[in-house]
Amino acid sequence: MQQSDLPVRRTARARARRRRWIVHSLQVAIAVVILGGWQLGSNTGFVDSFFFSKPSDIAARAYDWIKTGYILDDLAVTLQEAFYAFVLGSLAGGAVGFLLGRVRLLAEVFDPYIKMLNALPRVVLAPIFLLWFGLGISSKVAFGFTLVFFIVFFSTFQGVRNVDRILVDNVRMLGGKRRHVLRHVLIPSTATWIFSSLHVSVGFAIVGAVVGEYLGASQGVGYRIAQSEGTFDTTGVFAGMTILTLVVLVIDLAVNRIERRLLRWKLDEHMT
Amino acid sequence: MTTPSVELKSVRRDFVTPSGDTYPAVRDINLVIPAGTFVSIVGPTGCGKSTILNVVAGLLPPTEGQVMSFGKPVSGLNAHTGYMFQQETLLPWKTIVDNVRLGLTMRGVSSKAAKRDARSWLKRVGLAGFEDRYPHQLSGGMRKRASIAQTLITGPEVLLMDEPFSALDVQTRQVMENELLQLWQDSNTSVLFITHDLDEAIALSDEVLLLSSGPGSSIIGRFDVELPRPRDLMTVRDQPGFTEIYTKVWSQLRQEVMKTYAAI
Ligand SMILES: Nc1ncnc2c1ncn2[C@@H]1O[C@H](COP(=O)(O)OP(=O)(O)O)[C@@H](O)[C@H]1O
Ligand SMILES: [Mg+2]
Repeated sequence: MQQSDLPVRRTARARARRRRWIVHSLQVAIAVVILGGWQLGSNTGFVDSFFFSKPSDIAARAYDWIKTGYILDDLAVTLQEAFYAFVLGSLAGGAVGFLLGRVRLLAEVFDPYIKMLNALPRVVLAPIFLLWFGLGISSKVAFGFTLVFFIVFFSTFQGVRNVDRILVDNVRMLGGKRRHVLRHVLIPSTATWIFSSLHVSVGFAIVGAVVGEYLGASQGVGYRIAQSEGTFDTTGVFAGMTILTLVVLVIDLAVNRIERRLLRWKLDEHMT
Repeated sequence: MTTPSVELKSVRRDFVTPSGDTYPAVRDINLVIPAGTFVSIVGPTGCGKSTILNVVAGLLPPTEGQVMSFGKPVSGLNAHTGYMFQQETLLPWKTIVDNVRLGLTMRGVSSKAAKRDARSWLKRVGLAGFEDRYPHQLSGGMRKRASIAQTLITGPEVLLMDEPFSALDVQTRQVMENELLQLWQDSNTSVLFITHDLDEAIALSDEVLLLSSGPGSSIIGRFDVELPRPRDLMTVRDQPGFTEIYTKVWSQLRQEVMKTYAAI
């Protein structure tokens, strides 16, 4: 039995590897076609490089900004704003979500207000926050906070509401008091929901910072992009976008790792 | 005569349906479980078996009547009981060993001692080597074993089991039934066992109670099973007394099953 399975498994693995190779090749091919076409189009004048710049210029500019350190201070400011927005928004959203999830009366009373605040297009808050908190980082943190808060609030609220009744009963029958139920069932169960929204809330924290900067700031990647735009420097706009995208990708990978670690009890990797 | 581990006196339990009507699940339930005995309740689906167990556990207060455990009325959770629910109840975010030791940990037992105890229980239920897995990495039968260990580790005087083996395949099931009898014989616990499988009820129990179909189910038959102990589940069905009692209970149970179907 064992021996006859082995070749089958090996060909299955070979097939999977081959498939991965095909997918990667096609992905690279798409990038080459788009960037190459763009480059070629601007070189031949088919694409207006005033509006669209060209990949080689953008790469050179991005490299230059990083090498001279011109963009690094801005990046630090943007990430700092995103970090505060994420931490404060998550704490507040988690706490309020937990409270409203547990206390039915509060949930019913606050329901219309929460719906209203969530329906409000958050971007319109940015100018108000600029007036209230100034051009510094507080206004961006406040703006990012309003985005992160609702994401975390809703997932916490759902998480608390969806705790499996039977798990609570079982822990109580095993001798668990209220605090045990909280610690062993309610918090881990809710945390699962919060972690599953981690990607979205981290992304929104960064969006909050950049959009806030774009609308009014004296520092930050969003501010640099706005500045380049003001001088019709499309290369600068694209360079700012490229750097931001790369940074967000790296952060997303880190979030992936954290998520895998926190939700390891859900993964099938260790199965034998 | 010693005080019974559980006694229900004229228990009735109603539910309020979403439309606001009162639905009587069980009524006139009188039952006595002498300490150390194995009692089964058999009845068609939806007749109120789980409801009775929840009442004994103190999770559901009776609408009427009285629940006694070791001579004292039960108010709030019944601290004498350990409950193995019909559903899966292992915490998915805890490893098997952490799930099994939970009852001890919550009683303030040091984590080292609790883990040691949990490991020895896992060995007893045949799960040595699976301590550090998460529940979803085990098969259904293995999770049930872990649940048994989790319930028994705190040493309950009364074990409530709600269709514990109904989801298992026949072989696994027979092995687990044997193990359960072994564990029960080694301890001094009483068992209140729910099943819809008459065969299983007779093979395991000292007494089989037959519940009528709902609404308002009540106990319509009580049968003592006087097969000798210790029993071996592999051979108990071949004993002459077995078929006799099986036929007796089945003829009555069949009428109830037919009623349930007729109602649908
Ligand atoms: N919480 C509840 N609310 C309303 N009806 C319930 C509730 N629990 C059980 N019932 C009803 O009571 C009856 C008995 O349920 P249950 O004890 O779970 O049956 P069994 O375990 O024998 O299958 C069923 O008709 C069920 O629909
Ligand atoms: Mg049931």
